[in-house]
Amino acid sequence: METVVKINNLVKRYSELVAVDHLNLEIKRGEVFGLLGPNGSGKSTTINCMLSLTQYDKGEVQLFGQKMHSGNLDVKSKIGVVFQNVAVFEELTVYENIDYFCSLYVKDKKKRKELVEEAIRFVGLEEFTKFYPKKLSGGLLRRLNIACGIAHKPELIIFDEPTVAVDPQSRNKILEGIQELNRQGATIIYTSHYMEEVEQLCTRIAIMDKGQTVAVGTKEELKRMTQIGETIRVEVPEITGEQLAGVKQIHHVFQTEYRDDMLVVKCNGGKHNVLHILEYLNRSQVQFGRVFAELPTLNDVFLEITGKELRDEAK
Amino acid sequence: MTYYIYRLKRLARNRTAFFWAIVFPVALATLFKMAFGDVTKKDWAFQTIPVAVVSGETKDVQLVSFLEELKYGEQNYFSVVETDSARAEELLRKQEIKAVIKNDGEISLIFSENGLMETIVKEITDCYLQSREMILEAAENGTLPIVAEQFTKEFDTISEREFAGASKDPMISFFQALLAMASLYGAIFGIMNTQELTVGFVAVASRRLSAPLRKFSTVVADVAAAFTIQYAQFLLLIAYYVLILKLDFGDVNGWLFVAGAIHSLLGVAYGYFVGCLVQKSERMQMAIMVGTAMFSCFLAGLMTQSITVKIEASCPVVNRINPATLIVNSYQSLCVMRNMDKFMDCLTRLGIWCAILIFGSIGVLALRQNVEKWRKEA
Repeated sequence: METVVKINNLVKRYSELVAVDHLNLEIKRGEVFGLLGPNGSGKSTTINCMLSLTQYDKGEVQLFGQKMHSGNLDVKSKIGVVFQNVAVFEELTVYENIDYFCSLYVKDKKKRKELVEEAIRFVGLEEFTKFYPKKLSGGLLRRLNIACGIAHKPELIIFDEPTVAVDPQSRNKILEGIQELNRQGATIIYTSHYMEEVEQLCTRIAIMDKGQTVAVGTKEELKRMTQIGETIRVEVPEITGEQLAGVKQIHHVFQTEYRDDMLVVKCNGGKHNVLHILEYLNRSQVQFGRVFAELPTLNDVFLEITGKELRDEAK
Repeated sequence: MTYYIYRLKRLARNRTAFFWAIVFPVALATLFKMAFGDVTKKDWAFQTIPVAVVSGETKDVQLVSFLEELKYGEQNYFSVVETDSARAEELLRKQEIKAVIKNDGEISLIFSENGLMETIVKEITDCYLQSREMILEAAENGTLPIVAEQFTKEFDTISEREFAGASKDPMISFFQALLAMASLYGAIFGIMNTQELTVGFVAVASRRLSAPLRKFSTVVADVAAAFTIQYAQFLLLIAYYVLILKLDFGDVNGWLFVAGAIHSLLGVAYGYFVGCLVQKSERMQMAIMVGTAMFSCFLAGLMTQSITVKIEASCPVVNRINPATLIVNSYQSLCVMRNMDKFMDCLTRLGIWCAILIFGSIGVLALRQNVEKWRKEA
């Protein structure tokens, strides 16, 4: 499959701070590639370097097999970007905004009209075409932001945290839209610090921290990198140290923790772990309430690799 | 073309720019008009011009008699007071006289403001100096009254030329200073243009710069749109002055519109320069632009007309280089003094300013890029 994005040894420094540290990436045509990492991990800087919006200190970026630089209009014409901050003009209406940004790529008026109308339908802004951005809600504004980035039907679309501060309904609509764009043939790069979104959307994921990719693969491949097979949480009002040590003796259990009336048990695989734990608690006459069992998340992967919580950083 | 039209729409719909470039000067002009209404409405008729002559040891003995002989119809051209320097300056400060003529070997003039009367004093004094030998000879021969009569005819022609088509509104320079301010505030359009070419300054900049746009044609379209809006704003202000406020701008001719075009270009170029130089924050850019434009206009007589005269006496080079003064002087020389040489001189200086600002902006950008390159190499 054709390589659409190839980044070799990319380094970007801001004075003493190394924002991107010898980063390597390869993204194939048709992928939905996720860049997952906490705020400040270098995702947006990587995107800016990729688009030649920021000069980088070292390395090389190739898009569609060509070296990317600010004057490479051929490559630029194949890219659409949806930036983290809503990038539209307050003085133009919804229709005018989309038409304006589309006109930067498509000169033919008739074709542009069709593309703009299609983009408006795609994001569901048909009723708001004459509205100015100030009159739109946060969710609608995000949809306008997306329409401005995709109206010209780019082959590669970069979404830089497009769902920040968006209500759940609009978020779902945005995610469905991205999947649809991918089905239509676009290669997608999706940056986020929301692991659920990345898990739901992306075919391959790179986890970033401190400007480096700490792990790359499909979500299944990434989850296999952690020894956690299952995390079981049990509401327990009281448990002795001896009983807690007993839980740790159960087959496949490798870590236990008791805090705030919650017993957290981590297992490294195996079957019927919940059953074995509950049997032990019954036998030991430990009272318990609700029970939750979770398969490993990308947060667990991030935690195991970097020693810190992705979720906490993302707050 | 689509790009230019959208740019035009956006600049025209921008409320901040609309306020500073249109609402503010219109409101100030309306307030000025309300404050000075009676003065500006007064019908103009020739009045004898009060002047003071301060004579020194090497004075030209015929000057005072010559000035007293001159008549405009039945009226004397000048009412002359001979006094000392301190008294003359006090009279000038109190506006009891229009000019002080220092007569001590050299003949020099001091004015408290620029206007029609002052122009006549200057023209007649220049003419006297050019023909002094002939006048001195006439005085020796006792034919001074005859020569003065001949000169009166010549001066009548000068005066008629000055009066014909010239603005007789004594407060017009305030409104011209307001036009200068509006022109310099056109910098807002230039600043907005630079913001959208700077990654990280406004969100849309990144989107525009990631599109396959040719930098040169983008900048040309941006400048053209900013200039169009600024020039339209100039036309609107002139129309408001002449048609609504009924200000006397003299005979408006094509040169006024040429001047407006250069003033508009200056405003836009000034905005580009500030935008390229200051890349910290939008507020800082606006503060620097408004502050410097206001100061320039203050020196050009926006608050008090006499300041240009004081500058002329103490540091005349400021009047030759201050953009707002040059704008006011271009209007003065065109609409009041009818002095095309001075008008062209002002336009040339403003043209040089435009070139400095444009090349300055390019230079600042180039320097910044090179610094970045050197930093990387280091």
